[in-house]
Amino acid sequence: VEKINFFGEDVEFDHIGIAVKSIDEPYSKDKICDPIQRVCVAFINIHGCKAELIEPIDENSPISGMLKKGICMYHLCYKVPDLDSALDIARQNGFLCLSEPVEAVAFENRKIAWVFNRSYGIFELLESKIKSKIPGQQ
Amino acid sequence: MNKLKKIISEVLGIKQDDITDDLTPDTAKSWDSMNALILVAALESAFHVRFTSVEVTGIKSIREIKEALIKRGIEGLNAD
Repeated sequence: VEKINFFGEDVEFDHIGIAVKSIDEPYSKDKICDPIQRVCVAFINIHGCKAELIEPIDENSPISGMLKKGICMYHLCYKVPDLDSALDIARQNGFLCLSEPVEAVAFENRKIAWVFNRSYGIFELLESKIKSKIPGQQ
Repeated sequence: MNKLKKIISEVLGIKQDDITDDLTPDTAKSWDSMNALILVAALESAFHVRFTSVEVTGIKSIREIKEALIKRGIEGLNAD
């Protein structure tokens, strides 16, 4: 399989993002709401794959439109050692930067940024300074 | 053929004759959030420019697209 370094070296897969209309029991007890991203999220482990369930806060949430179109799986998230550097490399590889880095409450206030590629879709980049605290993950 | 109109037409599926400066996501049904990203990516590639993250998510009309391109030295956007 061809290895592609979209975002530089020492990049690790973190999770997939799954848009849902609402985060129901039993996952709702671990729900974290992020007013900056206008979503609430909860993490689950699907057969060893970390998944982020993402629920819109309101109609103006960025995922509301996707849900209306029936799009559920909509992003892959990668941990990067240096977010600014990863964004520069992403730009060189033809990605659009959708946001400047911002702190994300769902990731212990580590910074995230969003990028888009016409062929590959939307990716979330996450600073990898703190180890994941998700059960079942290292 | 107008390069800008050709790109917009291809991405949004709108006839070139119907593309005016006043066209916005509110007046073009196909101009949704995903097509907005695809449009900006196509413009970057075609005109060899880069938009800021604020522009990528903030451009809301053909007029604003033209202004952003003109700011980057792109000329002849109104030529047929």
